[in-house]
Amino acid sequence: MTENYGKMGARDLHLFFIIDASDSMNYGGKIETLNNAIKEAIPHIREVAAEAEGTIRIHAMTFSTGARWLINHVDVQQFTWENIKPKGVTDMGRGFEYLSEKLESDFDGIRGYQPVMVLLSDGLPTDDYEKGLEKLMATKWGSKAIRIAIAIGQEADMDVLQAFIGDTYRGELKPLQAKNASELKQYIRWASTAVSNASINPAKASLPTPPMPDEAIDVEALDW
Amino acid sequence: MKQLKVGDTVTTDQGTFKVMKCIGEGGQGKVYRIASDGKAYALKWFHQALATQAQFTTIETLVEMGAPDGRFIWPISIAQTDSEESFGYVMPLIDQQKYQKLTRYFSGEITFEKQTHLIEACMQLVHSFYALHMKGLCYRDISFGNIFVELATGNIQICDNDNVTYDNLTSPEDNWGTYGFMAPEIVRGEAPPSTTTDLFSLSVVLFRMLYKQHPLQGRREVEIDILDEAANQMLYGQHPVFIFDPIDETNRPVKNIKDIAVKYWEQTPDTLNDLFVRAFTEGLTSPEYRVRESEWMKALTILKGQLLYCTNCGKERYYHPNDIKIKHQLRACPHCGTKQFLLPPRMKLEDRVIMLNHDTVLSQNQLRPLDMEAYLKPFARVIQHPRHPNIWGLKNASDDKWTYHKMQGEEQQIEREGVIPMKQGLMIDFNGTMGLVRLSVKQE
Repeated sequence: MTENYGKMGARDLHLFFIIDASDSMNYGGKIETLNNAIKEAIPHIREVAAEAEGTIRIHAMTFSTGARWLINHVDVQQFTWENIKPKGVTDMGRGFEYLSEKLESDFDGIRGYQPVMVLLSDGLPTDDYEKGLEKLMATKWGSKAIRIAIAIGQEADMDVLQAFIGDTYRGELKPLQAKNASELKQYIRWASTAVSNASINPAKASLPTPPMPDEAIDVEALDW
Repeated sequence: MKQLKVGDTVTTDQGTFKVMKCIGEGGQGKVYRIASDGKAYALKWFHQALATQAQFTTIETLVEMGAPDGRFIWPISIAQTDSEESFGYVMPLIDQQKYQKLTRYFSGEITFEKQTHLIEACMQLVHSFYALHMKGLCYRDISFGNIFVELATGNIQICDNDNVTYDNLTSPEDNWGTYGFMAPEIVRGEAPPSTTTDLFSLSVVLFRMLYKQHPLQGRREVEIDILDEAANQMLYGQHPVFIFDPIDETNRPVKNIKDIAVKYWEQTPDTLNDLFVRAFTEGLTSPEYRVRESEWMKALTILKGQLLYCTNCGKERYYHPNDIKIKHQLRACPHCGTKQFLLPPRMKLEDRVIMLNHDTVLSQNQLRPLDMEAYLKPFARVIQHPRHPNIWGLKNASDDKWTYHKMQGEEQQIEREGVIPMKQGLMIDFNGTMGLVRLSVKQE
């Protein structure tokens, strides 16, 4: 009697990683930490998905000289992460353009929650990021997304990241600045799990509390 | 700021506890397994930003008040460390081997083996809401992530009770909760959470448990591509429509896309369906018409008595009183499609008919359906004669004396553990309530 006779018609949560793979990411262990952080987040994202009625689908892209998709629509239960090897400049605008093209082509007829888009960057864009961002915000899925930005280290342009966040959470969200490996891991974890969960189980206009750094900040230990 | 680590100790007025392991993380804080003297408990430790004086006072009040009943995982005592950056509270630890989060039932991972256990879980939920409301409290933010269930019995546990509050909120700032469970007037920001808005949440939880689909998610939900704040506001606040609204068909289940409720709705007896119609038509707009806990308890009691087994495929199905009254024939089995020609033995109690299957176990709610605690007290069970399996008896599982008349007319009293053999036309006096038994009858 408790068998499923009929369709649940559940929605999926689409989670996008938009990752800076420029040369500078090779220094200070940044890319190693990022690669590990995503791998470590996977079991926790799976937990969030297991409690949801649909699943969480992962999309990941990098931007350096130009942009490229790594994966699309992959069910988190089958998702594995291949280490990114950074090389090139920081064509963030191209990344936004690729993203908007994908949103226009692939998402017709799809029912989902507000997609979660996580932008990770350690430096200044080397192309016209504003044009790309405009294109992205002109798409339905882009404009309705919950957009999170994580600055890796001290060299990222916080204004650019804030522009990406835009009106997410009514402008109350700031870019998260990861000053060391531990913070980067926590922020990636938070963005991919707590924010995904908040999109799937929306409470009336609430923002999940950002993670606090583990240890008291030791200025000597800042390595980015 | 230091976070709690394995090996740290927290102090409470019940002594000190050692932090053993982080076992969960939510929007408000983390949950740890803690131990003292070999006994394990759970600790909720708030994120620093939420560790306010107001929250402290709330927890103190809850600790003082005590849990409404044993199913609530309730704050036992406040916990603190030497650093004053945050605080938490100690609560009972849920045995995760026995209890599963209800979200897993809806994601399709787990299922109840028997409908009886599903109905039991529903009754316990109704009872717990009632107990909470009797204490002058309201739940505010029930969701499937807060409810744990033991599939083999239907026993439930309810967590995340630090959002529970007194039923006296007035400020619109108190208007929050999870979309899907919030009453329309809360979604629209017109009223604060109260026991009345809880009744709406309860009706949603019950509907989902019994019919799987959300009562307000049909065509209107399917037509939404991205479920954002504006869409949630429309769906649950501005234009909520029941998927089986008798008049408004704009939100019907969508065939082959979102239609799981249909089969369950067709299988379920009218008495229960009708109550849900009321809950999601008048109950949407007029809180005073919402179904009360005692009404749910009565409906679930009747439902439990309507369970029977298909004689062809053996699966559980329901008895529909109107089928018998009007067509004198039970409708075909919803699983195998076979017409059922054999009705099981059944008993009429007041205006209710209770199926007596080979494994039926009945509680006192069958005698007093509006009594909120009666379902916890044993009443009767059907047993098969050990040597003659086609002779069934009704065993007295209660402390009351039953009376019946034997074949020769002499009165017989049956005490606890005593068995009355079932016969056509058997009348039993259950300490004041009369029951009339009919045996299996083959229908043409």
